[in-house]
Amino acid sequence: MNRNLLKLLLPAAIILIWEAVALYLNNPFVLPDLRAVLSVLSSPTTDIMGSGSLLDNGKMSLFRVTLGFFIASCLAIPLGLAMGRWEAARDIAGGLLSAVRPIPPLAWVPLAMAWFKIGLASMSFIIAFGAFFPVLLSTLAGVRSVKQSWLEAVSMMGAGELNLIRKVILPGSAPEIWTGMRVGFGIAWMCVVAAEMLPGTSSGLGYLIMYSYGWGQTQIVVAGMVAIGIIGILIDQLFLIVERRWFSWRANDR
Amino acid sequence: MVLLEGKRQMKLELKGIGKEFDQGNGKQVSVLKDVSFQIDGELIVGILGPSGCGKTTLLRIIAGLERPTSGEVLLDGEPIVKPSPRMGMIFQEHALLPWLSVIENVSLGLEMRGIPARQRQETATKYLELVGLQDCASSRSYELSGGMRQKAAVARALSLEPSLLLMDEPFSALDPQTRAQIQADILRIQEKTAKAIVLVTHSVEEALILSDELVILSSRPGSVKELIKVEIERPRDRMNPQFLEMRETVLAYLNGGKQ
Repeated sequence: MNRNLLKLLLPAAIILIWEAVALYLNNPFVLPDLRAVLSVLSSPTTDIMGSGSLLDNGKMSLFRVTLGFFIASCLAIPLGLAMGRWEAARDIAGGLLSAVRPIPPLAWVPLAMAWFKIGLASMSFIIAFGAFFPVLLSTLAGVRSVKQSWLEAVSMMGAGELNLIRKVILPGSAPEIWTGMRVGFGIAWMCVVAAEMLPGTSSGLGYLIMYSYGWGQTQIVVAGMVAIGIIGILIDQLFLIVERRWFSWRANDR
Repeated sequence: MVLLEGKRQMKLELKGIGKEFDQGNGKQVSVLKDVSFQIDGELIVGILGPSGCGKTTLLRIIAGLERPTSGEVLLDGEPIVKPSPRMGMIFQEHALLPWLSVIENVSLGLEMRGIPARQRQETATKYLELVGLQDCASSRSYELSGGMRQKAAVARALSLEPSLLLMDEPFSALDPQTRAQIQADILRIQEKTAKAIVLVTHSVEEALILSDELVILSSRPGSVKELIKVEIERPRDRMNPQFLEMRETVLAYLNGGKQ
């Protein structure tokens, strides 16, 4: 059987069951039917009850997540490289980081609001927290995966520490770092939607979902969820394309 | 192709090299003990010894990748305390960077030395031609066969024009045919570039095919058991009676006999 067909089987079945249940219940507040959801999705630029269009809110969420993710990467990658390379950096930062890591990003919400008020800064802070650890841990793993013989071969060319980092450690751990960034972005994406659901927010897909829920517009809630899913898949694919294009050596080298 | 430009005699001296490792439980294990010998000029010197005698450690100490516990290594009178581009190393495993093409690997050292791109390209191409890999310049290391990878590693080691090449069992992972061929290549390259070579190997045959001199180490802690000049005419034939006799002699030393 065609594999692509196989992949579509389960989603198709779920949609069918959903539609059947929606028709049976006949209560759009509990479960809107497919047509209602599709009509929201098919006009992504239409303003929804004065809270902006699906597309505008999606862009807002994407902007927030990108900013927070960028901050996280800028902190996590250099720190990961340092911790992977120098034992002292590992000793200094390791304990604190492993104590902070189990705290869910959303547990920082009250503090973030107290420090930065509601808005871009506090949201970026929460998102950055979500993305930080996957990127840090995979950077560490990446540095560890750099072969000793690569380092020795390049140091035989007279390379100092800086050149070793630039020419061996960074490119050698790049595939792992990239994988960590992919995972980190996924988590950041979940964080932004959750953060946007907090009271006081006035834009973003998370806000749109909560707002529509308040008005009993469940078809918009579902459409918003679908949009979140679609954007998530697209971004993940983008990461994968880059991975295949630039980091194919990793799979081939083993 | 002019490869002998600026050639000068090199001299490598090992003075009382000793190496101890910490076993982790506070106990010291001695791997090398009082190893002294010297290499004058463009010779191929093979280091042989029973496994675990510290021959690879000795080579790494010469390279400056490890520090000896006692003694010192002098290259042209200067002590070696860290890796130096005056020596090129060829590792057991090719150690090419898989994210770079073959030619980028070969020119990496030149790049770090700040040599302009065009000149890098020229030099790298010259050495790729020397090892016969000019057609694979843009391949990645994982696209090459084992023998070709080691050749690329040789070209890389030569690119910085070191006076001494260090080889750590470089052909042990290759099949016998490729091995014989790359050994012949090494001899040809050595003749063309006039490098001194220190070769660690566990194959007596390989040592006898390639070397002008042999250093035979005793079992752990390794110390110099015997220095032998290999005066068999080149090209050497493995079936030549003189070769076979020499082989017996060396094997006898390695097996602990013959004082």
